[in-house]
Order: sequence, then structure tokens, then C-alpha cells
Amino acid sequence: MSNSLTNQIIASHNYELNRVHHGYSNRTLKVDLKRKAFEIKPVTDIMKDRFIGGKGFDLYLLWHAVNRNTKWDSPENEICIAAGPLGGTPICPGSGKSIVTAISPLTGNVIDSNVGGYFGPYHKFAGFDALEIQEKADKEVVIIIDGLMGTLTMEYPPQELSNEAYEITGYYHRKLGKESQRDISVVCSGTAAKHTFFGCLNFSWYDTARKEVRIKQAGRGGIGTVFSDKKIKAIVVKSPKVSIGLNDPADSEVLLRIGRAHSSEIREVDPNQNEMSTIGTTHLVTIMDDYDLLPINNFKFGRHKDAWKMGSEEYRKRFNPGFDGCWMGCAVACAHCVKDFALMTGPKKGEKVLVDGPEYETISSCGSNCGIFDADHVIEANYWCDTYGLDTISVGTSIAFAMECYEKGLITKEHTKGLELNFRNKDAFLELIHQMAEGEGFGIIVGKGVRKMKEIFHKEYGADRDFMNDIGMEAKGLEFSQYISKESLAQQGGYGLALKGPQHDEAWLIFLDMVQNYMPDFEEKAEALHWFPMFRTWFSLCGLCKLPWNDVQPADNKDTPEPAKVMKHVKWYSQYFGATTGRPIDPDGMIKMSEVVYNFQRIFGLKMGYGTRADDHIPYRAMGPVTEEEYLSRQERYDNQLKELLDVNPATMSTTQKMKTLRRYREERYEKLKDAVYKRRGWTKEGIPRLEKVKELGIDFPDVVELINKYQ
Amino acid sequence: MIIVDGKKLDWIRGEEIEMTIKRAESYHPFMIISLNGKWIRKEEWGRKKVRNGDEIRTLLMIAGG
Repeated sequence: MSNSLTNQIIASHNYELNRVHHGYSNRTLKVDLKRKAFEIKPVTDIMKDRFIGGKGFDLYLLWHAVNRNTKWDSPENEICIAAGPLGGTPICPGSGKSIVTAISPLTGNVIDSNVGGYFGPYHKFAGFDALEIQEKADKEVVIIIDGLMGTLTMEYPPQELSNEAYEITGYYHRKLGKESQRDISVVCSGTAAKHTFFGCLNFSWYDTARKEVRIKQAGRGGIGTVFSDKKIKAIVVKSPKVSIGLNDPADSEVLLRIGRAHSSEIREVDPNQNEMSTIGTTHLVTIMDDYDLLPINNFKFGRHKDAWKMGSEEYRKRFNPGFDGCWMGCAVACAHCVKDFALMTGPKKGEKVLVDGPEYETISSCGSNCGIFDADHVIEANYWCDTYGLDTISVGTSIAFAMECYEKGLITKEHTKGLELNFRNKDAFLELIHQMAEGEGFGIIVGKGVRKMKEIFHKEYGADRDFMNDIGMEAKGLEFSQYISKESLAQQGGYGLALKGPQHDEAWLIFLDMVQNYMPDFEEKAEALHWFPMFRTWFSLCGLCKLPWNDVQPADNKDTPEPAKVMKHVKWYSQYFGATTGRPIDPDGMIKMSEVVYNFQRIFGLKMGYGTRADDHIPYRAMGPVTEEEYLSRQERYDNQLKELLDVNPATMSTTQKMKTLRRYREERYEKLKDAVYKRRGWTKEGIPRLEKVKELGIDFPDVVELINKYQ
Repeated sequence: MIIVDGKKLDWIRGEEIEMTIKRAESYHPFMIISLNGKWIRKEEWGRKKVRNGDEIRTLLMIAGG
């Protein structure tokens, strides 16, 4: 793509550059796409004190922008993007995250997605802690924030510029990064976002060693679809040169000490632990398979003899060696890539491209969960999903659901417009992705996600609604991420009680619960489902990645009183916060910070018409075997549970009776878990934060109190 | 001889894998164990015998992708 294409400037505004003070620029930027206007707003004391930054700032801004009738495509819906006070610290691993929020097309509720790439920190260094974008443009626009010149520009992009993410990001890095492409970051979606409900956002960074633009994805919940609906082609930020001093830490000596200690520990232990700096999260594939936890054929099974074909050893051969941190100096550096991959399908068939990824979630969703065990297929799917702006998790989980419906005869070739949609059919899988980009064929239906497909299949094709509700792997409208939770009640809670829907970033408890039996009773599970979501939330408030916390563990962690919490790192993070912001905090205080925002987000759900006990429902397949095929495949396990846990004799029962009995038991336990978790979190039996809790957390704003009072 | 997390140890005939790991000071409440490249289920830790030449690896497993 030539860089001499014509851009037409439609609005521009000069602003005063400022310096970040102790992690905050103390301003936010609002863009009104309809009026083509920019507004700079101060960060208030309440925002910093209660909402900290990152996701907290996003939620605060979004709360004030939308009303209870706002839908994902309402003009007042906003896309909010923020780093956090700790974001943009080069010495500390995982310090480059952006957190994005909007009202989601999939869930109708507020969604948050956490992404690497350089945008969040660069945006802060350009002068703004958060960005909120409201209204819709009349035609596609590009927003440019120049943190060197102090200019805000809105322009029409050249008509010839493709809508594929790799093309858009490459174009703006070259165009605006003439002196240094590294100082640029671009946010864009892709062609398919406008035809689907699970469009993702791509966030770029420049890989100086390979001289390539790389992208990371804010995948969950369809924020790319909102972006496309607002007719935004790209957001570009240009940052001053990054140094530790640019974030103006209150105590750079302490920060340097912690950052160096953490980085050097990671470099020392990671090669003997998960090897994330070499193989990313691909190590999880064979581990999950060995423990019967790897989704196979729409989460029916957890193990397959061919899983090794997509394991870490296959990707070790394919990943291009070199430093792969999605933020400067990150020692975990897990964002690997495949170079010179020859595309097998689509408009660029035969071209050699760089592919960012794949990670575990993509391998499972686009591979094993659709019965496909082919490492190259996953790389191909990963490329097209990224460049078309699609969330790989929702794509894979939705196609897997459609495949099972097809195999069960709930939909036919007539509905799929000729596609043989059996599990294992990788050609059909890729064809659906291309259809989503073209906005044609059965891909449009699949692109609406599992919840909408269930409605369409029932209303238009007469498919069995109850069965689809059991096997459709969505909760709150969001497709499940890639872990089998049937044998882990705590992980069922980790999925079902997560605010935005079944994504494992709130709580990943499978091994602690199922393998180690670390939390045998309800109260212990509830405690874990309080502490872990709260601590994980804290990373999103501060602009951090959580992988350096517990995916790489100190050698002496096993000898500590609470090894699951990796308290040595928790203490480092508390010092990191104090050394940056000048606001001392201890580990309990960190949990309190998160509790404020977590409860606020739950109440936000209530405002949008969700956020109650009924919304925390999960499909039965997340709890147990839906079909005889599933039961019989693990019959010994289930029969033993009937004998040992329920004191019934399976020998006298039919498979149908056994399945019913097991289901009643498991569903009751899930409801009891909800009770225990709500109690621990200070919520009512209906899952609503109690007024006392809201007061204790200092978020008893008049509109919040008025809202929750109806449910007390 | 056997290898546990890169450490060489004498092989003891009839020793279960869990005991070998404790002897190697690699035991951890949240570990999973790989024997010659294959992850083995917890129920087998106290039953499975280590054979001469085996390579054992432990991994602390508390976080997903």
C-alpha cells in the first residue's frame, strides 16, 4: 500500500502538552464523532481515589454516558480505552496493557477487554489517561492524537485503504512514523466486524528487531463491532520517547529495584517452568488434554488422541525466535509470531505473511473444539480472524455450536447454504470466516454468536430450544473461553459469576479445585471466587498484564503459606503501586480497590437490565454431560460419583435416569455455590450488592443508591 | 539414574513417583507431574513406580492462558 494516498482533514485542534505526574496525566479526552469535536476533561479526585484508572476510569466515563435504554448501536454508547497509573513502565514486566469497554452487541451489557500493544501507555504519554468516543461519524474517519505536536485530528482515510487490520496498521505506522515507527500505535478493527457481533479491536506495536508491525487483540464482547458501527477506521497515537521517567514515578529507586528483581526472576525461572518466552501459552494444550480439560467438539469431551499435533512442540518449530514482548522490556514476552506463513485460503491465498500468535485460546477454539487438530489450520484461522477483526474465541465457540447442531440434524445443508458443517471440516471453518468478512452466506448467521443462533435456529428452523440451551456454550450472551469446567464447581463459578460473561480472566481455578482439591467446601470456593476475581481486577485498574504475577512463580513460592496467591509478587505489586503513585498500599488495600470497581460494574449491569442471579446461569454442558454419548464416554467416573456422592446404585438405573440424577445434583450445587459467593461478596440472595456494602466502598452516589434500592 | 527437574538422582527400585519427587525436594502442593514427557494424573502419583532412566518434571500449575 502506497503512503502517498490522500487523507482529508475534517477537524483539528491544538492542545497543551502536559507531563504525567506520578502515573497520571490527569486529563481524559472525549471525541464526538457526529460534531467532529474534541473535549479535554480533568480527572477528578473521586476518579483517582475510587476508580484508580484503567477499567475503573472506563466504567466511570461509560456510566455517565449511557442510560438504561442504551443499546450497543445507540449513538451514546461509548468506546472507552485507558491504560492505568502503572501502565507504561518499561522496566516492569507486563506494563503495557490497555483496557477497553463499551456496551456489547453480544451481551447488551457493559463489556471489558484487556489488550497488549502500545496504545494505552502512548495515549497517556500523549496527555490523556482515558479516551472516550461517542456518537457516529457520517463516513469512516481516522482519529490522530499527536503527543509530540499537541494536535488532535480527525480525517477521512484514503478510499483505497483496505479494511484489513494488517494493512491499516502498517499504513499508519509508515505514514506517521517516518522518524520512528516504534513511537506509533494504531487501534483498528477489520472487514468482518461490521457483519458480525464479535468484532475485535487490534492494537499495534512496532517490532524493531523484525521491522514489522505486530497486533494484539481486545477480543471479547464485540467492541470491534461497535467501533465499526461508529465508522471509525483507526485511532492513531504518536508518543514521545518512552523512558521510566516519562511516567514520573514517585520513587524511581524503589521502582527500579522491584522491576529489575521481577524481570531477572522471570528470566531465571521461566525456562524451567512454562517457557512462555519461547512458546507462549501453547504449553497448555497438552496439559489440558492430559487432564481431560481441553474442549473437543463443542465442549463435549476434554481429551483427544491427536491433541499433540497442536501442542507446544509443533509451535516451537513454527514460531519465529526472538523477543516478543507486547510491551517494552517485558521479560515474559509471550506474544509469539509465525513468519512467512503461506496462506492457504482467501483473497491472499499463496501470499506469505506474518501471523501474530496463536495462543492457547485460539488453538483450542479454532482447533480442537471444532474437532480439528492441525497446527497450520489454526495459524491460518488466527491470521484471518485478526486481520478481519474477529474474536477467535467467539468465532471458534460459535462454529463449534453450529457444527454440533448440524451433526444432530437441527440444521441442515439447506440452512448452511451448502456447507457440510461436520466437526473436523477445516475447509468449512475457514469458509465461514471468509463469509463473515464478505457479509454473505451462513457466516452472517454464525457471526451473530451462539445466543442469537439459538433464537434463529429455534424460530426459523424449528430446532429444539432446550437442547440448544444445554449445549450452546454462552452465558450472558458471551461465548465461553476454552476450559472444560464439568468437574470443577469452582471454575463453573469462575465462568458463571464473571461479570462480563464466561471469560477466565476473573478466576481460573480448575487445577486448584479439581486436581489439588484445595477448596473442598462451598465457603472455601466462595473465598477463592472473591479473592481471585478481585486481585485479577486490580491488574485492569492499573494497566498491567497478570501473567507475570502467577504464570511465572518464584522458586521458593512452594514454601510460602499461601502459594496459590504468589504473595511475594503481590507484595511487589503493592510496592510498585506506591512507588509510582506515591499512595502507599498493602495487599488488603489492593483487594479493596478492586472491590469498589467490581461492585460498581455489577451495579452497572443492573442499570443495563442485567446483573441478577438469573443472569449468572450457565448452560448445563458447563456443569455435566448433556448427551448419552458424553455420559458413556466417562461412564466409570460418573457412575462412581453417583455411588460415592449420592449413595445411589447406578447398576439399577438406565443411562437416562443416571444423567437426570447427576444433573439434579450438579445444578443444585451450582445454586448453592452462588449463595455462598453472593454472601462472601456482600450481595443479596439475588446477587445485588447490598446498600451497606455500597456505602462501605464509597460508591453510594445518588443514582447508584436509587438503582439498587429497588432490589434490596 | 533418574532425572527430576534437571537434577540427577540415584534410582531406587520400587519407589513411587511421589516419593522420588519429595526426595528431589521438588514437591509442591500445586504441582503437576510429567513422566517422560506425559502428564500423569494425581491418583497415580502414589502408585506409579519410577523406572531407571526416567525423566520427571514438575510444574506449578495455578494459572491458565
